Amino acid sequence: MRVPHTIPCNTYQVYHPSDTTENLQGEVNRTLRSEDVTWDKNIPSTLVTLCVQSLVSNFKDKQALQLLPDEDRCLLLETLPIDLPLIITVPLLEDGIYWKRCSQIRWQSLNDVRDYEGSWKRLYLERHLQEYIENLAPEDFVHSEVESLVHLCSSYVKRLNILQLQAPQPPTFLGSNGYEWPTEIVSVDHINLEPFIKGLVCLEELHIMFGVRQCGMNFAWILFKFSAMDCLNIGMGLNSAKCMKTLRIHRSTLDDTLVTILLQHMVKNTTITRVDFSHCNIGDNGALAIGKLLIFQPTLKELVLCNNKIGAAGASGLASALTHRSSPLKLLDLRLNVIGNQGVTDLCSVLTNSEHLQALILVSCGFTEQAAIKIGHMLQQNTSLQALDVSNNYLGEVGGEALSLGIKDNTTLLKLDHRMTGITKECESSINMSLKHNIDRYKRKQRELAEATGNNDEE
Amino acid sequence: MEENANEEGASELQITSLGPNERKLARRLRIKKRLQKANQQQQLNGCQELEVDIKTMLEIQLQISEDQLERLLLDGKELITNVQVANDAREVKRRKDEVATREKRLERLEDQANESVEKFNVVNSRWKIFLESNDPLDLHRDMEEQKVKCAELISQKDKLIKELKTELRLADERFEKDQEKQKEDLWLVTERIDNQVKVMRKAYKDELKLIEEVIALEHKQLMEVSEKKWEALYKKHEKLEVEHMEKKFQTVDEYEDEIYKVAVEHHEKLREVKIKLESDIQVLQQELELVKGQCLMNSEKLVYNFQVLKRREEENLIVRAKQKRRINRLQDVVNNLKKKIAETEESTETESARLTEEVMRLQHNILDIEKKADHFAEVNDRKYQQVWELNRDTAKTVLDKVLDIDRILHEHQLGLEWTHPDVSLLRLEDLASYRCAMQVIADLFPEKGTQGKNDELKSVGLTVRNEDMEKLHAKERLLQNILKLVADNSDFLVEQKLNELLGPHTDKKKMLIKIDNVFTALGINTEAEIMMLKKCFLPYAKCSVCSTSVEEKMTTTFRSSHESIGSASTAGDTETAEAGMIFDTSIVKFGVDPAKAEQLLKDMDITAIEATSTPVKSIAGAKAKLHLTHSKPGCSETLPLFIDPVYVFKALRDFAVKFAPKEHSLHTNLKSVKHSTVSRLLSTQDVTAFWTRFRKIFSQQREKLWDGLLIGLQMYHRILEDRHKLNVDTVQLKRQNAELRRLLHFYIQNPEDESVFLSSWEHLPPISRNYRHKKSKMKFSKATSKERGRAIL
Repeated sequence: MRVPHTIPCNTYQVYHPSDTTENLQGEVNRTLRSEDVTWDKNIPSTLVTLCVQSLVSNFKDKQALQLLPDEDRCLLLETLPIDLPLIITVPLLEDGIYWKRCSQIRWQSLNDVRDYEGSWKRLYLERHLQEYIENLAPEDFVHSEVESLVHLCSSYVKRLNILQLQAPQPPTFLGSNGYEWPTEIVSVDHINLEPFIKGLVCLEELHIMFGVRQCGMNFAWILFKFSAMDCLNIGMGLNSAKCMKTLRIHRSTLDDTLVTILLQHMVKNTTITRVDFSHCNIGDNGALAIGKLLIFQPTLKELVLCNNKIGAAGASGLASALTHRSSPLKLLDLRLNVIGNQGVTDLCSVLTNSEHLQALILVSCGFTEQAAIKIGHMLQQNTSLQALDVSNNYLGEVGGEALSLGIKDNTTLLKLDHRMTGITKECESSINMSLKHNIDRYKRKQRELAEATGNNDEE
Repeated sequence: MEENANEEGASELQITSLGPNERKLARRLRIKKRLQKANQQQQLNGCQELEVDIKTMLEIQLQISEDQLERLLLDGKELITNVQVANDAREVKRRKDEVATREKRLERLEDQANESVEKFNVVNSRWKIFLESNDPLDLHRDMEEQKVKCAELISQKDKLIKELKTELRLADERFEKDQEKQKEDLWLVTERIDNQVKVMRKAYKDELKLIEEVIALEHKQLMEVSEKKWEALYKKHEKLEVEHMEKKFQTVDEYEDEIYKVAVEHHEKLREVKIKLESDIQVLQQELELVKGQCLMNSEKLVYNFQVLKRREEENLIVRAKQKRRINRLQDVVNNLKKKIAETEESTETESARLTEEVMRLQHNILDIEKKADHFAEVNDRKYQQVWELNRDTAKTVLDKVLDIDRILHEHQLGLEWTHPDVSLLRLEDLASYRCAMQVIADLFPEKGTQGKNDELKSVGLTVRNEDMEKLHAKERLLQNILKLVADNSDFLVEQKLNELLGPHTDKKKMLIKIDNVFTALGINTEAEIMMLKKCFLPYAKCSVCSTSVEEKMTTTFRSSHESIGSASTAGDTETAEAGMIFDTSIVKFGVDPAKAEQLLKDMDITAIEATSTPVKSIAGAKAKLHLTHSKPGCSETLPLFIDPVYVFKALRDFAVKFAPKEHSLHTNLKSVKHSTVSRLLSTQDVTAFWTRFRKIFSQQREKLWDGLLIGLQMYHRILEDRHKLNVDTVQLKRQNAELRRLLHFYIQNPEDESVFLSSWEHLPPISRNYRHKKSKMKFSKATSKERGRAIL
């Protein structure tokens, strides 16, 4: 018996009798079994079913979907072959069992539809597009093909997580026995991402990793390089993107010049709220360019520059950008950037008056007690910061005391990570006490707020 | 148990962390106290506060759970992030080391480079000396030296490279180690996450269980409290019910007693009333029976009556319907007849007009035809006479011829003496019928002569009458009265329908038509007839003024009056033009005999005498005086004569009796005169007699004699004919013979000249084969010709 997909599996399980029930005296010799789901195995399928089957086999030629009653449409969608061209299926079939089947057959893992707002269609199309981009060699790039595909997927794709981009094949390959690469500079342009970014009007998140995964023994640094042209294309694309919220270029050889080019071209975009350039090669100049972006980009709320090569100068630049009232930055991640005491001091001087920044991550930033004292002072003054991470910086006892002193007068800080900082236990406990105090207060406030809104609602 | 568990929980909490847990404990104790209090208050107050307390209990439990879970989460997170932090720390350390080693390496490389540059410079500087010196041995030695130095340099570099390679290998090893470390870290992280998940799941489950237990407890407590409450209420209710029941029973008993009493009383009363009523009922039933009987009777009567009436009504209805139908039908008939009458009237009018015209035409035709007939008769007569004359002459000539022949026969053939037979032929005047006819014709001529006389008389009469007419106008009223009387009293002669039709017409018209009708009914068409009618009326007429006078005078008066009426009616003919016309035409048509005309004239005179009654005296006053002696001088002429309506019928009957035979006589007079001529008037006997006389002149013997003579002469004639024939033949044969002799003579003179005779034979084409035959033939022909010639001879 065919159980349509609209009936959840749990129903089937619920209706299935337990072993003890089945072995009851009255049950064993029972002839009428309404719960038997295999009763029609030997009965020839109905004409309706046959019709639907033939429709399925001829779906490429004739899409008689809207004419069918719901029940038969169900059956049709459950039996449609998944290798139908997208050009037929995307406009015709709505989100549902078909796309679920497609996704589950194509990929064995990571089919969590909750990450895609419960839409199997979006899941399928996003992952399909991702794979297409990841495996598209620059030589195979055909503009029309890409455009048609992008046009098909445009209204469904919201997130693109590109984990690799095929590098262009070198014009001359010296062979397997020679490990030498041609010395002349070869083009490292990847495929043009602009049509994708432009075409996908609903795109909200863009994650790009320049580089080739699983290159094996063909490893070469050149595989991980990318050109100013690539940055230019991305920037141009972002300029016209209407919904873009998150830009993430990570684990790439993004250096100062490239980031400058990229940022220059995406200045016009006014929708991006989160920029993530973690694990790149951005230096002080790049940081300054990002600082400029902060000034011109009033919507940017989160900036992640984790594991870059930003020094004190870059940090100072960022700090000076934060002074501008137009930048309502809420999160600043400078993990694994050795900005030193000078950089932290500059940041702290800014944060004393800042009203926006809520989270600051300064993990492994190479600062010491001096900067810790500044942080302590800053904390006394600041009223917006909620989370601060200073772990992996040697602060010592002095720094710890400074922090604990600073946090005692603070009322907003909810989290302070102070691991691997070499502060004393006393300081730790006092800091924890203060944090707890703040958390309690925060919760109370939240509850009151919720009650107030609840009362308002009741009223 | 739950509380103990909570206590245990509290104590555990107290052990683990200080501040908040102490607070929680304190709060929980307070709650416990409050719960106890609430339990005490429960029975007293109600459930309001209880609910509040229970709510707080649940809230507290939730709070505890939340805190605990939060703590667990925090711990787990810290545990997991510890790996990251450690990793970061390692990374920092690695970077530091790397920076240090790189600096060292760079330093060393620089030193090495400097050293090698120095060496290179040394080597390089030697090349200049080489160029200067020319000694090959020296050169060789120096070259060797240079070579050694270079080798040194190279080896140094090689060493450096080797060192760097080892370093690289070491770095690779480190990288591998780092990778392994990373793997371990990842494993650790996953393990920790798994642990965390497990722990959290367990914690959540426990908390959920705790919360559920608390809820169950609350529920149980609530149930108990409400149960107790309900029980109390039930008890109270039961008590009240019992009280009510008792009260009810009492009242019911009382009521039952009362009911019994009332019932007994009621029964007694009932019985009495019943008996009384039953007797009443009996009486009433008897009455009812009577009434019923009457009712039945009445009803049957009524039914009968009703039925009778109904039947009658039905009959009436039927009759009425019938009548209605009949009326309708009759109405239709009336309408149809009216229409028909109108049509027939119209048609008759046209018909009469047509007929009069026809009559006129026919009369003209008759006159013409008569004229023609006369003419033809005359012509016929003449012709007849001519034919007669012719026939007689021819007969006479034939007779003479016969006589002549007879005489010749007698004298020449027979040699007898011929005696002239007795010829006694008739003449036309001898015939009786001719004489009669001549007589008739002679009679006819004088008749024609009188006709012209009559015309003269008529014209005179008309003039007289015209003169009279003017004088008689005054008498019209009297006449009208009389006619009116006739009209009024002779309805039986008039069709009823006419009366109806005459309804809307004026009296005058009515009367006219009625009189017309009466006259037609009586068959009165001519003036004379009207006159007769008046005569019949005369005896009954009387003067209105002198009605009282003696009877003997009446007759004369009547006569005079009648005459006056007659004249009046004659004069009245101007009104009734038709009658007048008929009268005139009758006069014109049937040439009235002189006597009749005279009578008419006399009548006219009488009317003229009557006219003297008018103030103006008429011209014929002399004659009138003779009659006036008869008339009553006492009776004023101006007074009209009256006829009693009673006598009208009598008069009419008299008239009818008198009129009937007269009519026949009238008709006989109307015969037409035949156009008699001599030819027509001659009788056939006379004619045959006349002609047979011719035939009978010769006797039978003489005829026989002629017959015999005829036969003999015929025979003689035949012999003569034969002789004549033979004569002719001999003459012919003589001529032939002469001719043949001539021919023979000719042949004898020139016999060779056969060609003259046989040219036809000779000129035939020669036939070689049959030449002989031809010759024989020729011979034969010659023979035949000879024979012929002989035969001719």
